[in-house]
Amino acid sequence: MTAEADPMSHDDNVIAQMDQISKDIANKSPLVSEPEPVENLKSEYTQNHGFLAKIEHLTKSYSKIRRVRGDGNCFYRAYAYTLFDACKRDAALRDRVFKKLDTTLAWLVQLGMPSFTTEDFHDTFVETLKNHCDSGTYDSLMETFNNDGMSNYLVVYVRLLTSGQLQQDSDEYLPFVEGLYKDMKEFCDKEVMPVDREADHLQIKALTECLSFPLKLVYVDRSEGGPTELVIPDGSSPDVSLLYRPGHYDILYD
Amino acid sequence: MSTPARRRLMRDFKRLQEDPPTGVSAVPTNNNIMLWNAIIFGPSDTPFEDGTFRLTIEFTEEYPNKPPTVKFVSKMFHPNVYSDGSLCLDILQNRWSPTYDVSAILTSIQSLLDEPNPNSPANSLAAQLYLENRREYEKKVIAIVEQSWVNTDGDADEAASTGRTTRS
Repeated sequence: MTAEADPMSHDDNVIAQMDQISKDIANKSPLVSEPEPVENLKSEYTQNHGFLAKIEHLTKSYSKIRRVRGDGNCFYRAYAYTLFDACKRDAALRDRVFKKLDTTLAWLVQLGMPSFTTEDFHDTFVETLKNHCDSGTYDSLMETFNNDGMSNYLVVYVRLLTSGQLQQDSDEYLPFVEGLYKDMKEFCDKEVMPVDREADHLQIKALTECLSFPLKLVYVDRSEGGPTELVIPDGSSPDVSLLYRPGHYDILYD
Repeated sequence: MSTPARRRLMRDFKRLQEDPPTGVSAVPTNNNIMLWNAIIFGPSDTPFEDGTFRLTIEFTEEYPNKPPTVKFVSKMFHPNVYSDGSLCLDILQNRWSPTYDVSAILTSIQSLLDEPNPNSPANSLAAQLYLENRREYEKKVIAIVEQSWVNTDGDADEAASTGRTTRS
């Protein structure tokens, strides 16, 4: 038998299976959920004492968790959501973010991003953020982030900003991935821009630096002791906290 | 009704008209913006030179978050093209990014013609000949280049629709 006789390749099977898994996840959880008590997490780990102890700790500092769908975009979506929310409330942050966004289209194109599509994502992001700051409500923000087409457009733009920062500061970031990727552009093409590709520490650092909108990551895993907290970038004082459980990010509230 | 997918496809089409890339062209079918006909001209100085290869591009409402389905309608002999015309190309599968538009997709396929990846073959005969008997490989490619001219004689839309299920 030749490959020609079987038009469904192994890859296609894997892709079809992954599509089905994504659909199952999509049917179960909204892209961005309403907040719920942190306590609720305990029920997910009744058999896991390492996790349980940490969640107990977590409930002392945080009251609510807002779940974000685990579709590979969770970090980017959570970050964009908290950014929109914070810009509405904080005029100084809003001015800073818009000033930065004004420069990002030309910057990304100069770094080699495709101008035509980048412009579309840029304009959509800026316009949506502006509308939210001018006249948005909590309900309209939830609607925006739960509308597949719109929500994913916003995610693509923060991915582009992440790529831009990684490539601009390639000297700083390349040593972490050297040997695996020939340059930062290849890293971005494979690990930042593809749909549903999860964010790792490098992407998170780059994006928080790009928008000067820092965050605190609270790690919960099965290791001993309380949750580990990490402020990104180093030395900043973030107003926003994300909960990290292996492979997934959600939003935390005090 | 205008959906994000349709709005973006109108933009893709506008860009193809205003800034046409070399050696590729594409138009939506008359009554359906979700189905396009495309042509890729074989790159010069390659065995594919002078070929006019027809493809269909089929989008869903999830575009651009999901890639379209691209298929050669013209007969193709290439390590990464299946016998039904579908392609094995990373940017159309697990490396898809919404920043690719129709123009970028077709340009990538055009580059793939002369830069096959014989390590993940969709057509194992083509891959084997490409690696072991380049002369024979090129002969087979030239044969499908000549076949691509024959198909060109018909109406473009009609030629590009062959192989698709026709609605009555």
